[in-house]
Amino acid sequence: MSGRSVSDEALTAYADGELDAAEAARVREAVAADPALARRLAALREAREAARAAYAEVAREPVPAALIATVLAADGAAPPRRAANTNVRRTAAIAASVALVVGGMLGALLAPSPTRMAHPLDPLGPATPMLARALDAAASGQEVAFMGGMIRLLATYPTAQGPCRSFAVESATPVTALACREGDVWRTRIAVARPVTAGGFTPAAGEDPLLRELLDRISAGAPLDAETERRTIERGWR
Amino acid sequence: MASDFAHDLVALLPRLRRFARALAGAPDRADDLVQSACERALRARDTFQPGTRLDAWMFRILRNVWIDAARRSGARGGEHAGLDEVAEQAGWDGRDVTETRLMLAKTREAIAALPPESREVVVLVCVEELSYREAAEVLEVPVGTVMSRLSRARVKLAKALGQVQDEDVP
Repeated sequence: MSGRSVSDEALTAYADGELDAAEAARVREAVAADPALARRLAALREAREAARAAYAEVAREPVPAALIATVLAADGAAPPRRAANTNVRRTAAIAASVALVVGGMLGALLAPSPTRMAHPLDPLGPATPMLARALDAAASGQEVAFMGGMIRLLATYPTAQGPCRSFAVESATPVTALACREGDVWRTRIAVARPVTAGGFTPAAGEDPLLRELLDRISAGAPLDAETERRTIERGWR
Repeated sequence: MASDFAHDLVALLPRLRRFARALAGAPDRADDLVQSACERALRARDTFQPGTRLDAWMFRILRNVWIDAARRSGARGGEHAGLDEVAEQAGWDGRDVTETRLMLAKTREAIAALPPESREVVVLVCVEELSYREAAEVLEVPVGTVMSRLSRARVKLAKALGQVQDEDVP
């Protein structure tokens, strides 16, 4: 440490843009005049960048459905401070940041097991065999038995990464979801539950706005017509 | 219907998971911390001041949850995937990114090896990109403490990553 004209604290703060103008000017001059100091400053900068990069991909992972469901369920258990009021910006933020939205009582309905990864719509794992069979073989408009209820396939969208299919899970809490084929497996990208309210509002069986948002973001094309879809199914989604 | 507050929390989940992962390491343990922090936040939502930063408020809660959990289990160490495991993942991924992945894994190990007081300040400033003042508020310490802990941690990290030459190291 002896003999160095600028302390590590000052160098670090300089690297982080945390010094005032006068101090920053002093550090800048000292660094310009001393190659060893310049190397040390570069190393401190690189350490910051390495730390940022080391965890960057965690924030891009899909958030486990069970975690979202738990947060929303805990919200229901605590009294809300103000009425729910979803706006477009917030909707977009949520669609961009989560792979699966499960609301209200759905968590309990679809994930009776406490094991997190067992959720049939979990975005981290491939679709369960039952769901995969429905996605592989059923035409849009067709209904397939699923977990004691029904799945209705809604539409098939081409994307640059491969085909995606929207479907509705019919249960006490209707769910609309989108699964995309990655290589040979289907993965649920988003599932939105819209609990039927006491007011009797029942969403139409079509597309949920959150699905629409996601489809827009992944630049999905127009839904395949029945004939193209049938041929795609026959080809095994190649 | 979920409240605005819960929606805001859900939108923050990717960053909360990152923060927890960097603090605690193992993904399942990190998600447990995130879940507990969200539950605690929802119970305490009336103490959040609208107009202030929800992320910083949540980081403070999550850190407290982490400290409480560590107190019970006796350690605040990070648990991280070993290099072998990462190499396997890279192979499974099928992409030629092994070298980058190894570097990232090495950095995660170096961060996990930092003492908790150093790790949390590195994570807040370098990973979550809070200012020193914001980090000081989350940690409830003076800004000067953030500066000294952070600079010591950064030098350690740079050494672990081989970015500081031996003759430069005090």
